[in-house]
Amino acid sequence: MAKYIIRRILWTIPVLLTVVLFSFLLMKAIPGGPFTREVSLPQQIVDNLNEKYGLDAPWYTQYARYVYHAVQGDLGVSMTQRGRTVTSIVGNAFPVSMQLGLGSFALAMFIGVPLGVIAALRHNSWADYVAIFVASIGWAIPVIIIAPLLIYFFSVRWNWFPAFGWGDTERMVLPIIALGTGFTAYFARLTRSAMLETLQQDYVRTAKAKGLPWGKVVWRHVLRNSLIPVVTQAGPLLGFLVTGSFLTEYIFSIPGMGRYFVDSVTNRDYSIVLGLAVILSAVIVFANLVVDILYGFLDPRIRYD
Amino acid sequence: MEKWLKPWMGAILVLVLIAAFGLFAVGCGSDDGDTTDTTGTEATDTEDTTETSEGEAGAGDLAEDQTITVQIASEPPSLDPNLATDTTSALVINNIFEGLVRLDANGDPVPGVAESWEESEDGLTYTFMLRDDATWTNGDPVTSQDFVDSWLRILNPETAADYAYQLFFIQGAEEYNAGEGAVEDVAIVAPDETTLEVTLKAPAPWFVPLMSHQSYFPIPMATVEEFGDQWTEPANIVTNGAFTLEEWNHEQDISLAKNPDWHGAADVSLETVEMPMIQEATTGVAAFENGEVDVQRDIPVADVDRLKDLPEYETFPLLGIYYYGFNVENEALSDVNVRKALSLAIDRTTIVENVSKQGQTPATSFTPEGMPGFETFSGIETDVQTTADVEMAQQLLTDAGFGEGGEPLDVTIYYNTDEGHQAIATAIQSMWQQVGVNAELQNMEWKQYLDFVQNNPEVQAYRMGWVADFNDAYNFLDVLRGGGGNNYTRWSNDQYNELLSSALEAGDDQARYDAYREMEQLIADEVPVAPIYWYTDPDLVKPNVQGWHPNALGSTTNFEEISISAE
Repeated sequence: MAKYIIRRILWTIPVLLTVVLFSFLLMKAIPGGPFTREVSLPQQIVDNLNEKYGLDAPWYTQYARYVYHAVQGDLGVSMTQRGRTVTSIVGNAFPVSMQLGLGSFALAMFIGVPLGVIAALRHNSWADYVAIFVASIGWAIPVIIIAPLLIYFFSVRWNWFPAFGWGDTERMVLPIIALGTGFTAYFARLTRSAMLETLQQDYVRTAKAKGLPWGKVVWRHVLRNSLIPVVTQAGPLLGFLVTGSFLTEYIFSIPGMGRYFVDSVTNRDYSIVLGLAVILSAVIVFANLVVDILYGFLDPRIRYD
Repeated sequence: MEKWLKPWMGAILVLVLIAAFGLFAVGCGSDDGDTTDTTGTEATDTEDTTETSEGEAGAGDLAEDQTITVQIASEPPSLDPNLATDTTSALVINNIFEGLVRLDANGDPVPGVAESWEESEDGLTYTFMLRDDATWTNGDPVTSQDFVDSWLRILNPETAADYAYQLFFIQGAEEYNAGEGAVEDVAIVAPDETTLEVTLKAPAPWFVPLMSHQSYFPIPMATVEEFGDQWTEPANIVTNGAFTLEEWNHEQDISLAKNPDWHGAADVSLETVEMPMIQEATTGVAAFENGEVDVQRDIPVADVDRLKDLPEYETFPLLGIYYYGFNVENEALSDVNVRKALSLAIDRTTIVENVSKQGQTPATSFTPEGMPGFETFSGIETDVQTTADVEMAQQLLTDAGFGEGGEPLDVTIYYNTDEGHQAIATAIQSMWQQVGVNAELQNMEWKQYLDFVQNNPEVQAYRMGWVADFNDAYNFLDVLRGGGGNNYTRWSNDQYNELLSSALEAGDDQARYDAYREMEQLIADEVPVAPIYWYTDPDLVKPNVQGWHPNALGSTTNFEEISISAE
């Protein structure tokens, strides 16, 4: 097990190097650079800028230089926000995205999963229909619709919550609902179908037959077994959620990572693009590792040697 | 039984690991130090010698809470006056720093740090006399040396400042910035603490108003050297303007407070300025409607119809032009009659009223209305009207051998990807189709677009905008200088280029405006560009906000002239 984990972690090194190399080459391949301005700059000023940011060197030197500094934890400085390091920008933005992601994740877990459980246990009753109707709607409406509707009703019409920003608890409510609704609905449906399947199993009938109280049957046998697919889905979702969600962050003006996925490319801010690539791949590699380890817990047939 | 516990343990493991990763990320960020304290101010000099006009704020009762919340679209990329290039940064910098002069609501220079100034006979040497009660927030006096330090720093090639070229009017500046000249040869001198002498390489009649541009602002060199890149953080920054930088939560908000030691502080009503960063304009309008924001500066086109009749919707002039450029080296567009026909076919009134919808003015010349001398150069003879002349356009095309009985004319309109530009391009496409021109639309992502328009000979018609850096028509006319860096039309006219240099030697303003008029005439005759409209700057302003006047350069609004009236 330990050997497996170490091997997997070592594997991330070539993965990250390749990701950086490809991001780097792709970035260079797009026309226009960080200093392509609407007001075209005199050549001598472009030269000064290129020299300052080391863009005057050949690409392989730039790449080597980047890797050399990156392994020491220095991801460089932004080319658009003068004087700010990539680490400080990401250090500000990542916790915000993570709060938003974890909030929406919690919503999905604590509302979506119980909703699915209730729907399954009351299969084909009005509770099931209502829950599944709500879940279908929640899953079908994208953030780009939910978010402005939330702002319009809860902020402009009724003035219950602020329309933008992040920080105070009241500012977090609308964005978390906007981002979390879809996933809540998704987990409600996932839990419901897993539960319905488990309820058909022989061991459930056996448990019931040997006289175990129904509550105990559900708690011990049905629920725990049904959550296996939910847990395996939750891992990668978390990885995805905490790295930033462009639309939600953009609509609510949340200072998270999401905007940089777009802005840094638009601005050709090479350092931020590369920094994001490194962090995003690290998070995804990490999330996959966790999921793979979890499989070992969930399914005893899987062995890591 | 034990195996049933394992999924739960797994879930907990995920959460713990994620939390640990999160703490690591928070740890990374902590070196950034978003401290809220500003440097203490020791200065006691508050003598009232201000020249600022209080305008309409005078009589009304003031609200107790003099706080205004002004939306800004994004994180200012830099609050370093030498490095900032964008309007968001400029808005903050202009209110926390003060240059030699400031611009009043009409765009005319009024004294700032300089009390008075003199221009030599030949228009080459300027001498600025500084006031002796201007201080930095650390108590030090603002001296002429602070200006010299700033100007030499922005020109230093190692600073790599975009706006170094704003100082290229100064003798020796361009050479020093190119790494070819010596710093000693840059003609800026501070003979004593309150005198500053500058020598230009050629006359620049707008040099005094240009002193209100942030690139010419003084900087506290000792602070810059002490903190390096971090000197603009609230804990470190030293400023000399009407407001101080209290907080800067990156990507989130900025807050300013009245500077009680500023020389004009006695006349400043506003105590606090909050500037939340709201990128999405629709969200900003929602925040304005629920009272979170007092001034919303970005208004989405989709909301204009709903908002434009509200008393809160105010439109301010902006010296800028939206135009279509023609690549004159392109085979189809090399014929002046074709270019003229395309320009004549555009119904500018329809575009302004039904497409762009922000109260813009249909443009018939390149230099916008409101520019000093506009009355002179708006008198040019041109067939271009605010509405289309379809007949004349068709006639010109036929004469050029296109249209009916001739060859079909295909023109591609290039624009950068944006709803607004697309709407205008679509309108122009159908207007051109009416005169028999087959127009195709081609959009590109912004930087790719710039690269294409600037360098690719295949470009035909392209959209572009220009907003003044200083209020002189030269700023616009220079765009079309033959071989100039911003002239993507590839048009080069010897007479035009000569006028451009001789206009500056003209001596008095009227003579210069006459030269500008001749140049506008050449543009109208040769049609390297089709002017579409002159910009405006619409804002949503709460009725209790008095004195909100963005200047015509779009660079700033003077917060010291604003007050909040009691309702």
